[in-house]
Amino acid sequence: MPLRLKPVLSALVVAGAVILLSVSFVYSRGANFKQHNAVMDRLRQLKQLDATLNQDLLKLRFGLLMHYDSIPHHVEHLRALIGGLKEGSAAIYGKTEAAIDEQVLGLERLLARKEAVIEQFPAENATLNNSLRYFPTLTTQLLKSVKDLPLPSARSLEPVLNELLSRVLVYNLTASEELKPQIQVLLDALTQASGELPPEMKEDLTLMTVHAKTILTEKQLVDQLLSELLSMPMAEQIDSLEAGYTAFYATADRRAGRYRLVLYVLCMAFLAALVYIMLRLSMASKALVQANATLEQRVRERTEALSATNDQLAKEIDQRKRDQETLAEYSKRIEQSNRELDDFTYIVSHDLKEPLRSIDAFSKFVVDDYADKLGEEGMGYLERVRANAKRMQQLIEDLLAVSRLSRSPNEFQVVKIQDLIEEVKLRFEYVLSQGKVQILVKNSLPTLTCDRVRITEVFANLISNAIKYNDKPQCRIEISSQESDPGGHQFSIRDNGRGIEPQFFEKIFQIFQRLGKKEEQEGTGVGLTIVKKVVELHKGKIWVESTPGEGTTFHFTIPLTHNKTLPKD
Amino acid sequence: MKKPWFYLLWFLTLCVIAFGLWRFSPPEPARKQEPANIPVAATNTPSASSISSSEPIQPLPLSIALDERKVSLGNKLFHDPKLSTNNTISCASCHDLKQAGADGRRLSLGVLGQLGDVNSPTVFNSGFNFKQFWDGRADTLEDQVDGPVTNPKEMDSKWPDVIQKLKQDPSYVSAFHAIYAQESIDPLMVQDAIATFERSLITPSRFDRYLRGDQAALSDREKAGYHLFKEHGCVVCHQGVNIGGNMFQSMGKMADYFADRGNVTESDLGRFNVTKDPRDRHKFKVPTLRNVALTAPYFHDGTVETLDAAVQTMAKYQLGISFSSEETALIVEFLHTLTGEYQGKSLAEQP
Repeated sequence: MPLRLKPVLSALVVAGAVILLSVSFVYSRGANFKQHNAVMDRLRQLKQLDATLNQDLLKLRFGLLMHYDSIPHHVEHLRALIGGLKEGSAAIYGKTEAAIDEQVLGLERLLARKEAVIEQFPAENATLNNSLRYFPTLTTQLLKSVKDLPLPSARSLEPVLNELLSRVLVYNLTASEELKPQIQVLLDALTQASGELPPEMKEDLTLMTVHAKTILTEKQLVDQLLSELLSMPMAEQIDSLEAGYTAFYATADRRAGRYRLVLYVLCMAFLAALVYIMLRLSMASKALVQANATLEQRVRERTEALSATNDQLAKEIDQRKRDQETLAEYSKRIEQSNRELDDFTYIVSHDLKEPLRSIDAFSKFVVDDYADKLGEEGMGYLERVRANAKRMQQLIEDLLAVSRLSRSPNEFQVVKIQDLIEEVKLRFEYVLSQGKVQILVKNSLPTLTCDRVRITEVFANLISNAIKYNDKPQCRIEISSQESDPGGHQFSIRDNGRGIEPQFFEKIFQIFQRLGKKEEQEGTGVGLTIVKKVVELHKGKIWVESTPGEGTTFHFTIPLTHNKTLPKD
Repeated sequence: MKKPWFYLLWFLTLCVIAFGLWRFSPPEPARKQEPANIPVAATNTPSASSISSSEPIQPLPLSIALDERKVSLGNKLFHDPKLSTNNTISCASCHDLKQAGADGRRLSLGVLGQLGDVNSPTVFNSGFNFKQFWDGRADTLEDQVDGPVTNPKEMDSKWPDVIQKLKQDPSYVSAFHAIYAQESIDPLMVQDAIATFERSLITPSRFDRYLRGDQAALSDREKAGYHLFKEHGCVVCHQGVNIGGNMFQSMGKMADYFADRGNVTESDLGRFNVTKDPRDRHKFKVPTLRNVALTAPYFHDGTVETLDAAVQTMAKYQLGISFSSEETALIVEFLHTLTGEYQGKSLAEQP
């Protein structure tokens, strides 16, 4: 279950991160700087245009601009700009701001008011400017005429006209209305004095007075309109609108900034994850490459070692084969030579017996027939010849016996060893009857399959040896058996004789080896050889334990497997 | 092979760069930025073509960029009596291009021979007027079209009827469709086409050539007349590119024109009818003086038959003076230089 949960979880995490990323991306763009900038530009243009409009109005007022074409154009353009602002803040800042929309409407209303006032302005201003141009011309003309007049009363008009001229022109340029009553007084004076003037001058004077009065009324009117126009808080409203927009934008931008931060952190996290993955990948690939290299190295080493071992093995096998062949060859040769030796022994002993018999027979004839002729000494020599011939005959007999062991095996049969021992005991009946020798069977002896004749020889030989080499007054021989290896048996024949030095433990089993002097003991020294051979024929082992002076124990084994079916040689 | 610390260094550098970009790139609100490309000056601002900016009168622009298809459609509509209820009166009935864009009558004739309230002003150069009608009740030429079409004393039409009649003419249907890419015909389209045609009606004159520096364009007497025109104050109202048409002015500034004339009608109240402002009583849009020699009779009431008389009436009621006959003659001679050409031909010689 956790194994399945893991990919789902990571998919969720990735999906969440992607959603968060897109959301913060969208919100981080909440403040549209470009459009905000466009609005700011629009506001700046509005302000600039309003200033230009005011400037043009002032220029018109003071005769610096001679036509009114620009005024309706400016107004129209202002209206278009404000109309553009009315498109709303929603598109620019992601949401509407009622206060700002209200301000825009306020600005539009203000412009409408200004437009209404502006409509009045040109008519009055044109009239004022017309009078302002006429009045000085007419006054100067009048002054000239007055100078030319002979009438002294007319002369008094001159300073009045001068006064009027300067007062009116100053009045036009000042903001205060203080001069107005003074001008009025001067105008009244001129009207009173006009009665004496010639009709032509009178007309001029009237016209001049009309223009002066026009200036008085129109100047006030125009300046009033102008001050009304100039004091309209267009610029202030635009400023406050700008401040509102800027604050609104700043709020939107702060909000967007927070999302930008989130976006930034997310991006950094992604980047970190990416770098981490790259790092891990590079490390992993490096490790992989190394592992590969190591593996290859090891494989190479192993292969080398293996091939070396193989070579070695092959060599060894070769060697073994050769050794085996050699061995087989040797064993064959040994077998061959053994057989040859056996044959040789048989032939020799068999063929040697014939001349020996002749020697014995003819020496007997000599003893029997010529004893008196030979004398004592001659008889002695002859007896020695006969004894040696006899001995030689014995040796040959033994040799034949040994060689026969390997040449002609007997049938195996089930033998009760107890019975067999009884049979052997009969052979030594004489010695036993004298009471000097005691043969004891320690436990019940087993029944087993073996070569009955030869095993009898084994026991007979061993008992015979035990009796022969006994130096004690009372000879004790103990026979025992015990189980050895599954089904096998170990037999022990123990005596209390003089014992055997350990250095002779092996030697005693060799053919024609006897301990002690030849003369001391009878026999040819072939007995133990035969014993050993028979035991070995039964695949058993024979060994000896002995303490010199105390006694000797011969042990031999007859294994089970070879009890039943012994292979025929 | 690169070591892990190399990646770490790389990552840290990226962090620093990214942080810097994030922290310092958000543009500070406005001010230092270049202003967006919103044209400050309107296209037809006459002061822009300041050949002689010190002159109160400005020359006509040499050309006006307009959609030729609209001009042509507007031309057709302008001359089409289908706009009137009984198919007798077209725009051109009262604004005959062959009669300098007016009709030569004191008051215009509407459907069924009805007399209008005011004298028909010339349609030539009307695009330069700051408002339309004598009382300026229409801000634009488009708005103006609606006036005569629906005025019971003029064409006495209703827009649905007009549209219905236009739709029966396949050439109109295809022309409107070609321009406005809409299946139906809308009154606003008709107004737009006619207004566009009217804007094309400009009449450059000898005087414009003079303003552009051609001293030989005017004779000495004409130049003297222009001088008087300025000297006597006519120019304080008749100025700008259209020599008028950019302000309202009281009729009878220096003397009571209507008392002298008598029989004051509602239309004599002028701008007052629109604003209801007492100050606007008897105020009228100052008319253009272009082609004035051809657009008699004069003034909103069409009571003055000749240009001489008109000049003298203006001197009396607007300037409070009287011109000598010589002064009048010179000014009139100057006013004749304002007669312009339409499609390469003088308006005086239109067939």
